[in-house]
Amino acid sequence: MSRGLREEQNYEAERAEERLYTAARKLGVSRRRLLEYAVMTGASAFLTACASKVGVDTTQPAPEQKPAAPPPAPEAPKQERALIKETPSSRFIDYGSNQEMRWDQMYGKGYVVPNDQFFVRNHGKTPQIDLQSWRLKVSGSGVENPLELTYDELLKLPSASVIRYVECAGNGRTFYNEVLKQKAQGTQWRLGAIGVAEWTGVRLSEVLERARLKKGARDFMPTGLDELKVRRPISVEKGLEDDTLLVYAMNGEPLPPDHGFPVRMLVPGWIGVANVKWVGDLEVSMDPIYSPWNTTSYVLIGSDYQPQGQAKGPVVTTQAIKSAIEMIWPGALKAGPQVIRGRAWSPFGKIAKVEYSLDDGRTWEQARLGDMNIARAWVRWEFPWDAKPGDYKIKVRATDEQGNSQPDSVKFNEQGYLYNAVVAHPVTVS
Amino acid sequence: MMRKQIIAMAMTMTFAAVGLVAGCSGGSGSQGAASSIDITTTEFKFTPDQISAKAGNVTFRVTNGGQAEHNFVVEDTSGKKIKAIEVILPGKTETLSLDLASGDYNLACTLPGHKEGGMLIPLKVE
Repeated sequence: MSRGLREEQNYEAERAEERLYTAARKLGVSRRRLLEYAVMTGASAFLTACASKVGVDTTQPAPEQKPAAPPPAPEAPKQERALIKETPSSRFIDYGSNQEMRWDQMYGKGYVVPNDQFFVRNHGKTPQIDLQSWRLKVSGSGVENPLELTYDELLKLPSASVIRYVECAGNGRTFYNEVLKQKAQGTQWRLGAIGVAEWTGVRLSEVLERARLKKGARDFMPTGLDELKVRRPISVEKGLEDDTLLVYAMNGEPLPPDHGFPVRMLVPGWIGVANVKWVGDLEVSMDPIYSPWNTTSYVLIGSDYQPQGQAKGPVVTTQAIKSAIEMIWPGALKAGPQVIRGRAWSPFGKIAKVEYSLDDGRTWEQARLGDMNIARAWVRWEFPWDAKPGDYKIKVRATDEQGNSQPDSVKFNEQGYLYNAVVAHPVTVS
Repeated sequence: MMRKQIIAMAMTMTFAAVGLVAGCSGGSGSQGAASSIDITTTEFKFTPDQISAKAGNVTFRVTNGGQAEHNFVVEDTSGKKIKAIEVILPGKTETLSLDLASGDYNLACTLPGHKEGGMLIPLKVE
């Protein structure tokens, strides 16, 4: 099908689709199935995904910024990569199997984060799952009809698409060190361990209904097929929400391997680890389920927290309201009229307002919010700034429709979770 | 009695050998001498997987030879943290020095799931 291939943009779009088909074929997903994804998830996401493949910027150019700081140079020889997708330093900050989205590369971009810019938080090497032998196994004391589903059987169930964010529980961890001077263990993310995508899959409730969920079932636990077998217990109540999905497509493409192919959980508003990737088993239980992932990890440990039951501290479940500026850190701008942009998100609902301060919090102004403002996704915001030469710190504070606001400070916890205090983004105007 | 002595001697020799494998270099070898131990982390294990050290100041040089981030925590046998390297990027080497009295300790990576995945080994200090 020709779309005027002498036009460079058409040519690139055509090639992008070819690359998409090639990538899908490697996963064992047919061209027909790929077209079905595109229909299910809507043309917009499909085109966004295509556009992202060729780097088409649909909005204004970004203001001139300093080149990215080079990624940390490893001292040992390069080893086999943990991830499958390309993660160039132009798009990511490199932490091995973890890759942080560069916020400056989202300046003025569309609502969702393209798959090739989406952050990755993986515990090790991306597993490659054989689609032919893969099964989703649902069992446990909480179901009357244990079952197994093939990939095709899952895809035949009624589908649902939602736009939601997924965020690592430790997003913002580096600020514990930079602000509180207490270094928490784990990846020293700034604020780029978050992404919004259009997720397509099957409501978990559809599957649990077919497994004849027992009245009073308490918890379920998806288990990943990765080397560590990540397994995070989740309440059945959360599992039955309309937007809790078994996801098989992301922004109109088959779920990429680094993001959980063939199937991952989507548990909106909950910390990233609950969105288990490469799901193979679902245990449903009449009793509470415990694993290291809700007793020793993803719990708040520190002098301000006490053990709770079997857990070493309060279990981290729901995320916290946050915001970020679409700017490299530290920022550098030319003097003159600028438009400062960013995004704000909350697990509790839509964002009601975003305020900013250019004088270290003495005075605050309201930023303009974008039209798309989806609960458990984010809102884009912006404000004009006639930037004069000098050094500044831009502070941004988001408030959601439930009245939750970003605090001025948060208490330290050893594993570095839930840092959501207002941060001061340094900017030099020259 | 003789059998117990032989076992005790064998264990002492084993720990000494492991210390050498671990790259333990211990000054004069007297109590309190500083020692240095090289350890490599990968997914999801420490190499070597048994380590002994002499009481006194111990420096661990930990190289992440894997593809994922790790950390390195010296714990008591109840799992309580004594001192830690909070994060080691792939390809990087970090060091940790601390004074250790004779006794049993654990070395662990406490990032989510890593300890349960195999990154927990004993440390014998004599």
